[in-house]
Amino acid sequence: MTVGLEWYLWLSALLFVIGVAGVLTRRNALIIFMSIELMLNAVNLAFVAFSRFIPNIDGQIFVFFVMAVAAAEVAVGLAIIVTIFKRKESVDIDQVNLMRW
Amino acid sequence: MSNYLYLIPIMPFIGFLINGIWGKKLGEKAAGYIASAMIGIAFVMSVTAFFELLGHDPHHRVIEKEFFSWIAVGDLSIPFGILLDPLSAVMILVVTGVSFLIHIYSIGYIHGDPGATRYFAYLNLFVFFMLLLVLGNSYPIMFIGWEGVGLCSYLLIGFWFTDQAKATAGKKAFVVNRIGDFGFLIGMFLIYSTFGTLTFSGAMHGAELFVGSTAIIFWMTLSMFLGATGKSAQLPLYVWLPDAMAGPTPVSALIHAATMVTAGVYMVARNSFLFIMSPGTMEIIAWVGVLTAIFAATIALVQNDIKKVLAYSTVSQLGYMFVGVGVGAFAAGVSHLVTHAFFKALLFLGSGSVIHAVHHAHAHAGFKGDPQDIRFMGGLRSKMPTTFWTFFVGCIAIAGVPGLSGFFSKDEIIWMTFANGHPAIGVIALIAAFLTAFYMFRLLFLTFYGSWRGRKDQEDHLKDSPKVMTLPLTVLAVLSIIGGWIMIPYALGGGMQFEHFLEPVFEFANNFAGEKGHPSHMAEYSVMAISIILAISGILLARAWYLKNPDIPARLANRSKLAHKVLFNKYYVDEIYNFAFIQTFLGLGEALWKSFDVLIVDGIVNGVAKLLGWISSVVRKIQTGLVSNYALMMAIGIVAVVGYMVWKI
Amino acid sequence: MTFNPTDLLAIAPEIAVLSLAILVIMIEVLISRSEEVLQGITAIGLLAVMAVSIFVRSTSANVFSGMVANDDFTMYLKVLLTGIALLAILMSKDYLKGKNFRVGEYYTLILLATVGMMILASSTDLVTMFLGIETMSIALYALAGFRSECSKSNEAAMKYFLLGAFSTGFLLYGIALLYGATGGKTNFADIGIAITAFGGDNPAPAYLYAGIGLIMVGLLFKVAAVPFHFWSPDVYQGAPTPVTAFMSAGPKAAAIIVFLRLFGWALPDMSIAWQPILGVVAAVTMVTGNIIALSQQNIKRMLAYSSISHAGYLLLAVIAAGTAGIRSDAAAGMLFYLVAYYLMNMGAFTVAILVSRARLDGDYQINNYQGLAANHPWIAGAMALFMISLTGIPPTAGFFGKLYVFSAAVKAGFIPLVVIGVLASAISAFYYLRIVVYMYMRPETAESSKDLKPTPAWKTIMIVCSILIIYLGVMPGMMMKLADSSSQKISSPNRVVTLK
Repeated sequence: MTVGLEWYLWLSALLFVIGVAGVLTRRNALIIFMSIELMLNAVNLAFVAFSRFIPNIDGQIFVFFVMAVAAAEVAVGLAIIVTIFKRKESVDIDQVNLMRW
Repeated sequence: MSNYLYLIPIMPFIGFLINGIWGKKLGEKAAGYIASAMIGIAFVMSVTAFFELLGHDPHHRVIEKEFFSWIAVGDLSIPFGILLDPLSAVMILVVTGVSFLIHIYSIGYIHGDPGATRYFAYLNLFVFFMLLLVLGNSYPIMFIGWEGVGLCSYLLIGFWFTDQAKATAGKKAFVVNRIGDFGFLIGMFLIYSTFGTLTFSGAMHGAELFVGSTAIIFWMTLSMFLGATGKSAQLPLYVWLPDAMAGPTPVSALIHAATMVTAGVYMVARNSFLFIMSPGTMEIIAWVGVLTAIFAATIALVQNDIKKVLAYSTVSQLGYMFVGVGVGAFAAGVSHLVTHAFFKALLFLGSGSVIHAVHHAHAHAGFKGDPQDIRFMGGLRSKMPTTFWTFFVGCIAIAGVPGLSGFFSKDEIIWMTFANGHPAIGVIALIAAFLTAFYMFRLLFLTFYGSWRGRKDQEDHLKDSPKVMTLPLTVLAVLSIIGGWIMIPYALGGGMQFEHFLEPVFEFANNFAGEKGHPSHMAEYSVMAISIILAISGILLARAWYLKNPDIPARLANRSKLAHKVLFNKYYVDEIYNFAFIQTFLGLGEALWKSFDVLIVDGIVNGVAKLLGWISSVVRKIQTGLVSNYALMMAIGIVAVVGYMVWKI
Repeated sequence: MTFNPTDLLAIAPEIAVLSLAILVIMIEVLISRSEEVLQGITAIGLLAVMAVSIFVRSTSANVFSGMVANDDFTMYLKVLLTGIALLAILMSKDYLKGKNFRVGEYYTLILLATVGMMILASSTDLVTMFLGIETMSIALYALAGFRSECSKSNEAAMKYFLLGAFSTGFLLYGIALLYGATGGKTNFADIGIAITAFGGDNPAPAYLYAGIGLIMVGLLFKVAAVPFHFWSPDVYQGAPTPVTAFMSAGPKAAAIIVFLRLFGWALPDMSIAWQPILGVVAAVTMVTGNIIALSQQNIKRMLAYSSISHAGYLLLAVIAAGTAGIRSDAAAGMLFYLVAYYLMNMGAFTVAILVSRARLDGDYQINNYQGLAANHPWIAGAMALFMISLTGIPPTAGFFGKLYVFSAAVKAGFIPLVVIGVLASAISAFYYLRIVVYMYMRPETAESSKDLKPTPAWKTIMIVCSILIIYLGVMPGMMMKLADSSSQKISSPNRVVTLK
């Protein structure tokens, strides 16, 4: 039995769903953020797998872009979370609801 | 002139700019004169254009000028153009003529109001949009005018915005008109998708070549008619018009009687080629028209506010116009539009003059009462002779007394209902004509006859309005008398010049409808005779009740106990039938007004706004402010989208 | 794959804005922290970029191996986006005063977001699309939270960031699946070709559909369509107002354009699958946005819901673009609509800033507009014009925008959707004109009689927007021609050709 493309895709899908579940169930902004990172990495896995099996190098290049962008996102995201923390002493997103309706 | 047609709408626009920008500096007097002068110039130009048109051979009486390519992208091409044909020529004459008189009248009426310059600016802007509406050669231009007049009407109804009720009335007018606009827009899109063009001539061409299901034509025309019911205050969207009386009286005369509210009739007439292709829509129009006519007439029977009577009367008369166009007698509908513009503007301005005088009398006597309540008027005939005589002319014109304009135009409509095979509609229209005569003369008698029912110190201060106000009244009175003389039917030895003038516009529609055969003159005479008898008896009944025995209506109000006595009262024993009949209507009017009008239709309009607000306040709660909820909603959305995509394979 | 140096000309505007961004931040750090200097440089720089966008052109239709479009349509979009940035900066000028902001950073972030928007609007490849979206979004996250001393601003940034990153995950996953399903294609035109190969014996894999669905979701998030709109009212309310104005116009425009390009040019063959979804989304967006806006008391929030509903109208153009033969009409309609929307929205936000600034508490309640017309006839007049235009009443730019987009949808046969759209815009009159009612038909209050003190920058914005709205409403012909002729020749460069 060979490990074909589908194996990777299912694994990637699984990781992605775990990430989504994390976002939906957690209340800590940092953990939500980490879950989002997990989603991105699931995507990277899919890219690499496709790239390997098609074969076409573009997917791997895409992965680099994703990583670079994710790094930039981390920088801005953490800054935002730190600002919130400084003000509220908490990163619980359920306490952030000044604006609604 | 034809090369300078665009100047006709431009003139009032210049007036608007001048008064809008420098009005405060110019002062009230100058603003009034400038505004009137601009309309006057436009009127002279319209007359010139009209005679130029008359100089053409009847079948070439179309001047279409495209000034520039307004929108030209791909296959959507809308030139900015003006269409002057007999129909629009009649309309611009009426619009500029009547508004000229009303502008002059306004100089006297609005004198002393701190917002006078703003008033004239709005009024000029209104005329600009109205002229655009009737002169445009395509649906979008018409729509611009359509929206523009709505906006101005909204601004002018709420002109004295310090009064909360007035601002609310303005809002209601706007809300109802939105529903109408919705219909217009949908109709416009359907025309575009069906014929691929948005000009009138293009659509007409498309209609000539049209083959296929008339269902699309039905929906198209029905949507447009929905637009017309909003603008022209027909069932069920008429509610805003009586409320719109909150605005200054000249505004009621100009916008809510003579011009804007007739835009719906104009629109149907302009699109006669489409409406005639959909018998279903025509049937609906005729029925909506006649039901509105009788419904509003019954309500008018029991109103005590002088302007409310006239407002319901306007709704009722607009119903007649729709009956006319609905039974395929487009020219008759337009004729009534014209004569109605004269006599209803006259009546409104007359009522304005009365209100003006009563208001001043109240003010002098230091009395804070409603200057519009006819129960506290009376005997004004001797105090305000000019106003009385002109008002009297308006009343006999609208009542359909032979020889005056209203008789010819209304009678033509009623006759055409029978001639085109809608006897049921015709009968209802005849009853409404009787009611019209009755309520108008009730109004006349209560206002001008008898003796003053207010306080003595007020009575001493009553006097006729200044020349600047009575002069327009006189002119309109003359027009109300002679305006119908170009519409005299063949049966009475007339030439129907007006109908012939309009004929080329409705050629397509008339050919489409085909020859209906010529009913005998005898039939026409009998319809005419019935309508004259009804009008006269309406007047006489009003006279009997409100002049000779003013206590009768009051007793009728308590009828349930007195019915027996009343019926056997020796005085009226031979008028039992008449009584039973009118009682029913009075009761019905009261009941309709209180239940259907105030509760249901008004309630629905206000209710829609409330309901939307309520839905909104509930739906907004889904925005909980919590990121986790947002993420969950998104996830649900994603599952739905992706699920559908994958399931679709 | 070859690289031709003249290709750089095609992205000269992006390069120019990027250089400007770097220049501004360097000046702030090294030379001067004066607001006037930084603003002047940014504004002049952006004007220069407009000129660059128009005059510096690469003649090649296929630049960077087809990763970005190089045609008139794209050029107009770049001019539009630069214009949005320019007005946002003008609007910020006096807003920033006394707020203790690092203005250089602020302008730099706006410029960086603009670079992202320009890349996004011109992208014809999934890679450039992704980069554009992220460049734009990351800068916007920071901008939304720029008032770090304000809790609402923090909250806006947090919500925007978390939800934005979340949606990026889906978008990327969609891209990956699409990439895999089409055998390694990322170029829009190539994807279109690859998709035509499916069918019959060679059925498309399920993950192709899933991928398209996910990309759609990612883009719907960016344009704030229901039910992916939840971030936008909160973010719009919390962000500094000039940033809100910028966000409501720019990113929406860029995202909807790439939406159009991807779905109209790469995926028209799949339209049977995506048109119904987008149809439902558009209908729900138009109705929900307008309905919720009815009960808003805060003008920023009201405009946020209004911008949601406008995204719904714009989606009609995307839907129409999926129908053969209509896509250039749809693109032209969209371009016109975007210009109109930009003008009226920027104008409305300017007035909102002005009015709120005169209040003691600086809030954005609609009550503040009571009786505004009495003391500020010109400002009230301009606001009324913006509101009328947003409602879509002629003769204003907003009317023709709607007419144009709706007629494309009618042509494509989506009459029920257009009916819903017209009905929804009838509803919208209630809340837009409520402002007009407040200004003209309510007595003034002590608050509303205060002098608003519009500065020259704000006056300029209001005047320019008003004039252009009326101009486009009375003489829309020229703009329509531009939109039409440019959209007839939208290039969708093919990558395969350049592989030598």
